[in-house]
Amino acid sequence: MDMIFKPETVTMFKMLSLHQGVERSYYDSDFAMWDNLPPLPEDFSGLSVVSCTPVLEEGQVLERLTMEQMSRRIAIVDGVQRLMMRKIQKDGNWVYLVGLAAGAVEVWPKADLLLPTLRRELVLFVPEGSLELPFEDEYYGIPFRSVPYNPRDEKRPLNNIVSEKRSALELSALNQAVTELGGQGILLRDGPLKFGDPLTRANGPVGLVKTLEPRSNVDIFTSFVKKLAFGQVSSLLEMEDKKDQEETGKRRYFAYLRIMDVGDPTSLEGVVRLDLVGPEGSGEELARVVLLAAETVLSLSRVGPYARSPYNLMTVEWLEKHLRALLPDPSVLSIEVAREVTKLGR
Amino acid sequence: MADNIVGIVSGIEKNTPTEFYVNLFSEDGQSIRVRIGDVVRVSVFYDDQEVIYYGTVYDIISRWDNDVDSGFKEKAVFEQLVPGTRFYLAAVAVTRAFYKGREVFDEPLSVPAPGTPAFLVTEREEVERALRFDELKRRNSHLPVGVMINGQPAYIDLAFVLGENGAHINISGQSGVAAKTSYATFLMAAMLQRGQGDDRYATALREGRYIVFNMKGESLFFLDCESEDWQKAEEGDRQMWSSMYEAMGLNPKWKFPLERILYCGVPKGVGLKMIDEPDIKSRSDAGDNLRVYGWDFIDVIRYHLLELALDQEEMSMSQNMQLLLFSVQEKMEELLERLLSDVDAAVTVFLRKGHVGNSGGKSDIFLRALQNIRCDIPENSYERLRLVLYACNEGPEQILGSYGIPQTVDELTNYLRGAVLGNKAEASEGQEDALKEWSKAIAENEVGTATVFAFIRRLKLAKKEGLSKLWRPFPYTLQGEVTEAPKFNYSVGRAWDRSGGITVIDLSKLHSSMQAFVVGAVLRQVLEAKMANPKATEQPVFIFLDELNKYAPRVEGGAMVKLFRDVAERGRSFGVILVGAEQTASQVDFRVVTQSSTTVVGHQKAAELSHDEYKHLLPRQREMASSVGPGVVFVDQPFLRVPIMVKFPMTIWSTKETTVDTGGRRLGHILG
Repeated sequence: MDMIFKPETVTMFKMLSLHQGVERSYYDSDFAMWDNLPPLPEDFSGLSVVSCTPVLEEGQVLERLTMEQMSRRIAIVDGVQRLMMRKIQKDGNWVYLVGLAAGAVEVWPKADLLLPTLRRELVLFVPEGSLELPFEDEYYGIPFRSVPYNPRDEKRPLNNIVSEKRSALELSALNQAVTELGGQGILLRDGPLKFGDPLTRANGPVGLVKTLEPRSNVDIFTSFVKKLAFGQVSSLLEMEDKKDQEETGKRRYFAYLRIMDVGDPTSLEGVVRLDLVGPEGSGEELARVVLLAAETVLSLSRVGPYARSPYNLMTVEWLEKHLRALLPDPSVLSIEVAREVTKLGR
Repeated sequence: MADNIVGIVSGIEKNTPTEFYVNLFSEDGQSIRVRIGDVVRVSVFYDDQEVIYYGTVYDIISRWDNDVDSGFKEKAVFEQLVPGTRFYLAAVAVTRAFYKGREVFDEPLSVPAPGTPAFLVTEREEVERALRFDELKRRNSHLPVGVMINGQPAYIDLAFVLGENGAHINISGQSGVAAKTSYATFLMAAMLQRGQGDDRYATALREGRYIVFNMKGESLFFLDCESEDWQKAEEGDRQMWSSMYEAMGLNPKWKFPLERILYCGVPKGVGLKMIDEPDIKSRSDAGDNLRVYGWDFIDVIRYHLLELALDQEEMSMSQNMQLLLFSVQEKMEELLERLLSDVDAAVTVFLRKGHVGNSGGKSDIFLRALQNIRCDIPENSYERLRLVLYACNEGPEQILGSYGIPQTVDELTNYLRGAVLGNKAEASEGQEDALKEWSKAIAENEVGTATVFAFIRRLKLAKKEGLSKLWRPFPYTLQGEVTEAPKFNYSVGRAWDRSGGITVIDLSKLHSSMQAFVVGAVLRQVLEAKMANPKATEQPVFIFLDELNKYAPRVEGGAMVKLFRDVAERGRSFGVILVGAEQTASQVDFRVVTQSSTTVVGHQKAAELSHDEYKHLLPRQREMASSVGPGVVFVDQPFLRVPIMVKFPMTIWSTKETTVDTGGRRLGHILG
């Protein structure tokens, strides 16, 4: 049988003894290391409100619509990561093989993955001292490379590095999705939009932040967000980042929407944030996009309590499941790694 | 033993000492090297000792391994976006276990460990060893029954056919898919050809008597002719079938030789001439090998055939009718006994004195007859009676009338009617004594007039349904001396008892009640003959009968079912072997069907296969039986733990009506 990997890749596996007793894991949520990530703080530090544009009229609320009623092309971009395997090294450090995938799913009119937006990557994270032979390889058409990491760098722990890698993939998928949609409908991204992300236009993209936890500037946050009724959208806040010097002329815009009635109007549970990026002073223009996005998010959100996140959109769940399925099975991969190493040894 | 590894014993499913699973290897993920019916070998270790297990593959499944768990991922694997692992699992039923080259026990007692390599067995010798055929061959008790998937012949144990360990063969299958009739004739051909050897099993098969009942048209009247289907088939197919025959050690050109066959047909009618002409339209060319069959009064009385001619269901419902039937049979037997003893006495006198006296009694007629006889007088008193009656030079009516013995069903109804009506009946001359006898019989048993008339109506119905053709008048054509023993060619009893002879008896022209009569009558005669014969098992009688469910039904079978149970349960001891076939085994009497040591199942409906009668097949075989094509059957015999799926070739002899090719001969005749 032909070798699956390049010789240098297999040599690397062998050096790291990856063929011996590989421990496996399935999804990111299965392992403590990835599971106990704190929710992204609703951190306004460094941000200040520049302007405030009402999205809905006083007392007006949105209602859930059916797909047909909305009648617009909708796509959502998301990314997943999958911890494939690890091996404890002599010095107590770990090697991780992580699978990353990002892509967009079209929710309506078709319910399918937009294949051109699919981005995948397999990364072998190796402690810096152990990485003698970096490699770039391919496995079933998925780029596969080694990346060194410093296990003792507390400022930049491994999960941040992984998260950055994943964000990069998602960003690439998002850009592709913008092209795919060609200015039609609405494009959501599961997660915040930042300055580096594409500008929000008539069709998005709009970031969707599902878990809010205020850390700073709580007053501002509270005065704008709290007391939202079910289906109500807050004003669109134009935010200026004092720290950001490079991206002049770009502003982040936030709007909040309650998609679940938890019986307590002051509770943040059931509130999501819609995240936009645009030129300064474009509040008026973006308010129309926010309205469309809010209507879409409310309509796609599921009724009732859900274990992981009550605000999850079913389509996001669908997308995540499918993206994970497009990453190779850890057990299969680890068996193939072991086989290749054995073949090399002979 | 070639090491042809095809997989490893799987631990994913539960292995047992009698059944284990093999995870099949596949180089490219798509191709495996094992099929259902293949033989595999694994090593089992007990107390550090290696025991070799053989088994046959009876089921194979394929699926994704756990890495593909959704339809979406499956599609992604197809598009080669992600890898997917294919998984093939073969279920193997253990057939035999060996320790250091010797068989351990009949039953395997340990279990192979998961991960043990499994080898495909293809060498003929080892396959035979795995399936116990080597043992059959060593004992010379092998009979080829078809070709297995690997092209090698499959055998059954003749010890389980000929009554040594078991007997009888049951074939079930839907009609029209070459399962029952074709396979039954194939088995018969295999037996006859196997009979060419010197061993004792071969001798028994050579000496065997083969009785075949023809149920449909005149299809089995062409066993000596070449099949049109064979002729019309493509050369490639014919070659394939020929090689199958050769693999089984059979001659592909072999047909049933006409000189060994007697084709027996029902008489065309009851008239003088018609009664001796068989109602077989298509085989006028068969000459002396074609004849009529029937029973005269001696057979009818001797073998109690009357009860078989009456509706079994109806008779079992009325006790009075049964009583009358028994008393009529008893009376006829009593009268026949009287006649027999008078004839015996006359013979004794004749042999002592050698001349005719003139006592003025009945014996004078017999003595006169004996003087006409120039051939040997048989020992058997029934045959002696036949010869004497034949030599009387006058119709037997008078003699029989004077005893009150009915010669035909009409005479019996007349006697019964006369007996009931008494003086009101118009008795013909010389019948007064007979009527007296019959009145006595009716009075003794206190049977009511209404019952007798009801009985007469049943007899008339039976006559209408054809009994008068089968219960034939005693033949009388002779004037003068008897120089050679008359043949009484109609007698089935004389027809079937030929060494290696095949007797085809036509039932197709008969009403179903008369079909039962014929089958019952033949079986009774055969059983009686075999019970009296000390060489019974060395000259077995094979009875090939289709539609067994009709003759030995599970419910309401009466005298017929009793007869079949007798054949099934005791026949083995006398060398009477039933090769029964039916569409639905579930409708055949349970005791009859379960007595069969060899069971053959061809294409069958799924609903029928769900019955207990098919539980001997493995679950997958039951499913397969509902879809297998023509010529494929599952054969099950006690010597092997697992039923074997075999294919048998098309028969070169015809099992359906075909045009006998006489054209060539005629042309030759014209051209000289």
